[in-house]
Amino acid sequence: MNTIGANISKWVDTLDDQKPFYVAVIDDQGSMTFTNSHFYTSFQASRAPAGYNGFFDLIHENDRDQLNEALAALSLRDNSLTTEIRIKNGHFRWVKWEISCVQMPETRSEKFLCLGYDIAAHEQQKKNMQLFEQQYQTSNALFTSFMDHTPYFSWIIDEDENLMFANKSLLEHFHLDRAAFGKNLNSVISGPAANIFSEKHNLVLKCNRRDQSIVKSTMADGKEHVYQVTVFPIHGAAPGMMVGGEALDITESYIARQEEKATSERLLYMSEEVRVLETQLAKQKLKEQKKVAEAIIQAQEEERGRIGHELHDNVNQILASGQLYLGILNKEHENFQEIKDKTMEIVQLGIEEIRNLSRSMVMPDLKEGGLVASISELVEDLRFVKLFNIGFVHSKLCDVESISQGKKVTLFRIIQEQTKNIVKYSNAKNVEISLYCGGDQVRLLIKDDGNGFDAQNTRRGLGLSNIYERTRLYGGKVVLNTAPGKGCSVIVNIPVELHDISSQNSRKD
Amino acid sequence: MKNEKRTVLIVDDSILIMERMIPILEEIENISFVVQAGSFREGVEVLNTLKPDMVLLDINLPDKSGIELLRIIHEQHAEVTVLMITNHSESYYMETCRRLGARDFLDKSKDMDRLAGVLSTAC
Repeated sequence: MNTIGANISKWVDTLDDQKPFYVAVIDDQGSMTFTNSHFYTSFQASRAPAGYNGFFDLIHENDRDQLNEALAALSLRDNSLTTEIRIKNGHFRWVKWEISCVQMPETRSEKFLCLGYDIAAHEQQKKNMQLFEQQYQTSNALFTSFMDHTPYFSWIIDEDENLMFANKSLLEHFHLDRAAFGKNLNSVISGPAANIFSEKHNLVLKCNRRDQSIVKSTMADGKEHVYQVTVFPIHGAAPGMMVGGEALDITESYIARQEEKATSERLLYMSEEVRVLETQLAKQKLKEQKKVAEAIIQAQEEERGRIGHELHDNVNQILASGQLYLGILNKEHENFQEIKDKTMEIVQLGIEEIRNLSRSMVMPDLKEGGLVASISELVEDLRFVKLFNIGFVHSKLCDVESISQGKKVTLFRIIQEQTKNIVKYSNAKNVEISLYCGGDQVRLLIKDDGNGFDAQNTRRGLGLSNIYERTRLYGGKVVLNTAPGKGCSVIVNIPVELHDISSQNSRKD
Repeated sequence: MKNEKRTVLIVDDSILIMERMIPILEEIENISFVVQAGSFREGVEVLNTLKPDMVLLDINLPDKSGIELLRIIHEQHAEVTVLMITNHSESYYMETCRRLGARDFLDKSKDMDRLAGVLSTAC
């Protein structure tokens, strides 16, 4: 027969998972000598222990015989038995009892150790287990389905690189089945892929953190595939770290991205080339503008020199001879009247010379008189000299005057320059000036029937250079038509911007 | 010493200790009924309803110190005899427990043989 110590160890074994748990030591009369506090507070708290004889009082009267039989049976045998007996706690409840007969070491008297637990609680526990099982199966099915359908390769390995889990796509890819679970990864996968796996897993196991990388590998189809691989530490219920992994075949998008990158690099390179060209162009433009500016400055210098020359050679001489005449002028002189007239003439000549000079120096007030009025005045002056016949035709006044002030001054200067050339060199009989405004440009023609010259072999004089430079400044073109004995015509075309006209129109409105 | 039979409350969460104590208690004639409580909370609950004559008390309980329970017994149930049965044999504990009215102080690891004698004397 067992001692109580051996039986009570059952209490230890079952204590944790089958609470609430009742313990009582009784004798064959049902008299209790020992209970645990759970039994005591559940069934006996309201009763005074003195004179209380028993376990039987707590048992449902229909079950007392059953308990008696059980105790009688047990006292003849060594082992224990289980029986379901109702016990009172306000109302009766079903308790499953495991009763063992034990012998006290000293007195060798028989006692019964009763370990009981609520069937209701047990049933509930069973139900909970079933529910848990169902939920587990549902979530397991969901997990399996998810893993079977995700395009990712998914796997889990333990610390020793044993394959704990691999989803369908990974298994199929490596021609494996679930038999591979639990085996070392290196024994089921071979080749470069195995090395990559090992490298990544070691990284996670060593550093205990997530790692994401792009991996290129030549696969069974002989092509190089690109994978986005993520490995990460996971911790299950068991101690020790495991490694979870996911890989997605991103070959297509990787190639597309590479191409996109190459294209954008090419574009960048091309735009760099364009930028260099633009810089070169800008430099060239600047150089040309500088050239034009230099030519203008040079022309101005030449002009100043010419004026100085005129003043010195001409006006100075005239005034000097005037002074000479005035010196000999005397009322008593027999030729008094003649000398006076001559002096007056000389002074008049001086005045004329200075007027001519100043007219060519001072920029005509085109603002007030306008371009046409200025040209007309110039033409009148030339006509007065009677060196040649001169005519001036122009298109509608409002069109001509709508172009910008700078262009108008330029056109006037060109006419001045060319008529000066005509006066100086051409011996022309007829001169014709026409100014035509149409479309997006203004066209000036100065034509004479004089000597003409060999355009190829004549060094382009200052006057002509001036015409060319001024025209170029406004993006225009000069056409020179001449030959020895054939007269000369200069045609100047200057583009007119739209705002030149519109601003004029709005001013008119 | 009273003639009537005694009730004993054991407050100890160690079932292994229970294995050794229950047979000892069973043999003592004056003890009629023993209740075991595995924690401070259970101990207090049983103490108030059972009104035991004697408490066998461990110091190291899962929820609170046995010394707290000893203090309650000392303040509210001064007539109850308390025997400390514990692994904490340091003199500090012994002193504290004696000051709080503990009758005796037994070391689980070496004094269990004395238990029967001490109990017989105490009852």
